[in-house]
Amino acid sequence: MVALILTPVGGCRVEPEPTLDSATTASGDYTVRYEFEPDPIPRNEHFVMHVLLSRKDGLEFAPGLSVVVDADMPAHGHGINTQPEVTMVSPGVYKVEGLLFHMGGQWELFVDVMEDGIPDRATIPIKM
Amino acid sequence: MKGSSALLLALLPCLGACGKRQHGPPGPVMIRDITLPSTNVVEILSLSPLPSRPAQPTNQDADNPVAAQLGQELFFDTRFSANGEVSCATCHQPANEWTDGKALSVGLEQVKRNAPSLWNVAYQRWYFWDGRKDSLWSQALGPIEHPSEMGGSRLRAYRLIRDTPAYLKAYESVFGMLPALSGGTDVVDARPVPDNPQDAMHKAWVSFPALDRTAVDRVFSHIGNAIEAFQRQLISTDAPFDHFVAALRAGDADGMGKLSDAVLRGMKIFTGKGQCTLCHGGPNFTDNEFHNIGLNRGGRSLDQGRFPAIEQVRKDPFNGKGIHSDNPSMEANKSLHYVAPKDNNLGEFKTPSLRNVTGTGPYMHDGRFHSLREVVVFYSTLPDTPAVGHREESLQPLHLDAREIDDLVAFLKSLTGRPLEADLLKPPEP
Repeated sequence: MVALILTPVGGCRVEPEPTLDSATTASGDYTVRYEFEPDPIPRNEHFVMHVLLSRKDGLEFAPGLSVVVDADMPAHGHGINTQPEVTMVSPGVYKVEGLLFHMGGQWELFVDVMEDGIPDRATIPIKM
Repeated sequence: MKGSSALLLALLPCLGACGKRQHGPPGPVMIRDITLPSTNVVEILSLSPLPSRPAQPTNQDADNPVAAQLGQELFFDTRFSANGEVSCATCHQPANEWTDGKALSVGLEQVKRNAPSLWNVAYQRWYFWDGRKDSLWSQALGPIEHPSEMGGSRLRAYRLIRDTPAYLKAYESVFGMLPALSGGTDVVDARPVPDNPQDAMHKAWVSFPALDRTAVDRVFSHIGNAIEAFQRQLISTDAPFDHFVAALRAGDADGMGKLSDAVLRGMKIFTGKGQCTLCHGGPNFTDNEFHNIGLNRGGRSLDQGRFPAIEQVRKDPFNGKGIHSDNPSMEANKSLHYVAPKDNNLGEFKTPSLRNVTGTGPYMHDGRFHSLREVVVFYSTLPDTPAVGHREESLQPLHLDAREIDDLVAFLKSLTGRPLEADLLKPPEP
């Protein structure tokens, strides 16, 4: 199992593992800390992503906030052939299943923080 | 120059054969006057050896030798077909690298696609060119009932098991007692044809009690299980390329020097500027997924490929999550569970394995290319406008010269594995 200690955070008092990689959403409002299982990501095999989401301003998450994950290969004109499923483990803590990078090359993993149906995207570049 | 004396080996860090942990990427390798840079060596090592065939959780008899023996008999049996002349082996001929040598295959009549080879089918994730099946056992059922292929039915298949003593004995030893039907003893063919309720076979099918239909479906799925068990033995490995990689791992200069210059140069293109391993990566030389390589219609009707097939496989009653699966759990069927149609799936077809590719032509889903050279020239020039969808954008014309094209073809020929045991190439002896 991963080292990520996914303590319910409720949108504030986030105590992330210092080793986690992170990305910021386009608005700058959210920090996405993440870990893959297994790590490194195996080529052409399913893997899991654990996400720890926090607000930069430390406020509570908006009601109904959700997370959507997808991935793309910008140089190829296509993305993954799966529809990942995101499960909220606790507020701010998500488990993403159904990810599979079937090709080597440069991928972009998208974590969309959805508020009122509007995505705020964090983009994570991954070289396979 | 040839011979090991002319072979300069610059194999740097341990490549794994020493049994120790690797530290950093491998170094470049020079063989005679051909240098394989480190990045090529990394790719080359990823292409061999072929691992043991993967587990098949939705068919608990996938590796049962009795099931395989039964499956082998069924594979060659023409009595599944409406005219008694077509079997699986009609389009997947052992002497023809498990294909038929035709551009478009011919069962009862010509079909719309090329017959893919069965080499290493156990390693695939999806079946048919469009991936409308998620297991080999389920795939095997399709041609039996396809009107253009065998034109038979699941009831005919059931009766064949029931009425052939050797089949019945083998069946019951693997799958348990064959269920009896309550009626319809004079009906030969019956199967669901949901798109055409007036079809005679459909009318016959719905006339059976539900319990009988379920029993026939179960036996039909077991027939697929047995055929899969046979086909899982059709493994191509130990090709000259595999021997090269084994020598590379072992630091065996003589072993590496056995490949010709042309093959080595082709290997360098394949794993380097050709970027062939983007799709034909891994030990079976395929990513097991689908790509639109930008082929035009080729004078044929429009073929949308993967896109519509995704809904088909999700709804297929014989898929891995269905009642006839030996393990319908999500864990055992991740690929099926998470697959979803995307716009880019339009016009995509499955990446074929390249093992034993030399004899499996004609090539592409519609068999438009009769030689490997034509295939390589296509990738070198990419002359077509895609029939539908858009071409995989990583594909760019390679602008290979004539020698480079020949070299790539030479490399592909080095992927031919050792022959199968002769007793797998024909119906089993009684």
